[in-house]
Amino acid sequence: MEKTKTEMLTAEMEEPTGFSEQAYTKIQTYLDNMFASIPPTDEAMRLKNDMYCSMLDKYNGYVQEGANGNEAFGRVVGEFGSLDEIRAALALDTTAAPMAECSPVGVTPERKKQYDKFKIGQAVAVACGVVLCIMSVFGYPFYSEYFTGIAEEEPENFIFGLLIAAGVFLFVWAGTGEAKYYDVTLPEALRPGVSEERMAEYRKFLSVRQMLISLAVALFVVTPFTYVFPFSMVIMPILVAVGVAILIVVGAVHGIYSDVRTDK
Amino acid sequence: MAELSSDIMRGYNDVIVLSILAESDSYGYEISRCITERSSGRYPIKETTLYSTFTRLERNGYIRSYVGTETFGRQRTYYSLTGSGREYLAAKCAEWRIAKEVIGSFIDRLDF
Repeated sequence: MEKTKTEMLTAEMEEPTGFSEQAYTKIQTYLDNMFASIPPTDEAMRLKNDMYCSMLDKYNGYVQEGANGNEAFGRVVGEFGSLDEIRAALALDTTAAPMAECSPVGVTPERKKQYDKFKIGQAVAVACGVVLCIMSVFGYPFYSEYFTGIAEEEPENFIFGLLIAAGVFLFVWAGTGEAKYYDVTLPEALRPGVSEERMAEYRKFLSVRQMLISLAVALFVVTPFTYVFPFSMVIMPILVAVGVAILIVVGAVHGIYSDVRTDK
Repeated sequence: MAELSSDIMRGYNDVIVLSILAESDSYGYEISRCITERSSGRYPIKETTLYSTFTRLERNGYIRSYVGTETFGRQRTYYSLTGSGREYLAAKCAEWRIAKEVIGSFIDRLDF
């Protein structure tokens, strides 16, 4: 027997509060990704719409129980299940691997392409940085001969410093640029129970971590070539020690965020 | 608290959903919550399992859907049991009682 109008109106009045626009978008994006490989028939779209409503109801239910946005979203996504069941119910081929299940939650193909382009640029920047560092040292004996107009005294030191600085700049750029793409590399759905503040703190640390690791790598690369300087027997171990110290500290601090990381 | 494996429950998702609808019409989230509560959390049915069950039952004519209230700007779909769904449910309940007796005749002898 159909629900009476009173029962329906009562259900409507009891609509849960605490709904956020961000949850609306995240769940919609998640379902868009999941259904990307399913033919958009009327039946499939109605099913998707129904699941969307149900997931939003669940999300609000968890929020009302005390979960924060990320926790609630993580639980809803964790209870989603296998797309193969939907395919079987819609009488679709269950052997095809759905593309959506390979992408992190909420990441569009365009965003993934931007990240891929950045990774290529990052690799080129690191390679150029290494080349500049090598050139700075191997070209050192020749700079005084070919760059006499650049600095009045010891132009070779000036060129050496300039090339090193450019190389280190490229290392740091390559390292810090990754932070802009954490929505691609750090899918939040894998971390139920982590607060937004904790996640923001972790992302900030990752930017600094990337920069420090780049700096340590730059120190290691430059170290062997400092033999041309006086007191190189002192400079070289100091540079190595500083680089190692940076890596140890960064590693230790990274361990503090084991509650956020998925690679634990 | 031990959870049931989905393999065991697979054959009875239809019965579970139909039995809830036999009491009154309902919608996805309400049915999902009912299943979790009645199973005392031992069978938190997955979203895809539930909605694939709805799709299958509706295709077989055991339930029918209709548009109900709005939620978050979208129409909520309600489900109700049909006559053939009621007959199918009755048959599955009889089957379950037989299965319970048969399995019980083996398990009840054990001390586990």
